[in-house]
Amino acid sequence: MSVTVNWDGDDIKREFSRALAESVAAVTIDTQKEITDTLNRGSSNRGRTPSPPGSPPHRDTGALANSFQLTQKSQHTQHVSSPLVYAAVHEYGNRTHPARPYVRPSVEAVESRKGETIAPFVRDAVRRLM
Amino acid sequence: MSQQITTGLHSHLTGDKSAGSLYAALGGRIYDTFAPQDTQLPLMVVQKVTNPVTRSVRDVDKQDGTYQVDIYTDKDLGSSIGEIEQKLYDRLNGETFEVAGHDRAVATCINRDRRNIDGDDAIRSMSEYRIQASSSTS
Repeated sequence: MSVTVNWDGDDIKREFSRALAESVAAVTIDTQKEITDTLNRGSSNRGRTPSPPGSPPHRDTGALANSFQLTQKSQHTQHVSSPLVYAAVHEYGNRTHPARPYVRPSVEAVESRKGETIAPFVRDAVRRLM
Repeated sequence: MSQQITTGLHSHLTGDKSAGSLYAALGGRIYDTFAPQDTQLPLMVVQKVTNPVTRSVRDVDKQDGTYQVDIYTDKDLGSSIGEIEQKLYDRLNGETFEVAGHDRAVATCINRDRRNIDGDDAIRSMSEYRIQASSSTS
């Protein structure tokens, strides 16, 4: 007696590629939202008092928080970026201005929950294959 | 707590003042958070990127945070920045050092030697190190 197993690899590749693309999109959107939320959590700063070094910049006009855009680079790669010159100056500082990081802490927060973010897409892929 | 790690990191980086050390290569200009205006080059600035997160595993509290270490040199002396960065890497990556309130701390390089121009006269080499400080609770 024998049993033949037909493993339809193309179906699996297609469904998991779709799940991966959906996961990348979800994590990217989460990253953009987290950056915006981090910047909006800073106290309003019409008095122009700088935030303490090492903490996200205070909110002034909200231009920085609203400047982050998503760009699709390939099926599985997306960028989150700001065209504002001072976006990088706040993040990394320079010789005489301390860094006020807001992107890297946001990415760290997104990283810590990425399993929860992508799980529904993986589950859906498995369900479609059943 | 994060200030204790920053202080411990700064002390470790300035701890070896021998000829050929990182400290000697920078003329002692190693600063916490930012450099004073018009400081002579080369110089180094150490600053916190993320607030250390505390995790408890089997009677050991671990604090885990990311720190940015920037080296600035004169733009016309670009070749020396690599030598200073190597001294930084050798002094820090995988090394153990003392932090007040903890048994020990370990540094691991997670991003190394990304360069950009700073102002009219300087090159910056930027690196990131993950610092894990641990202390026994039993």
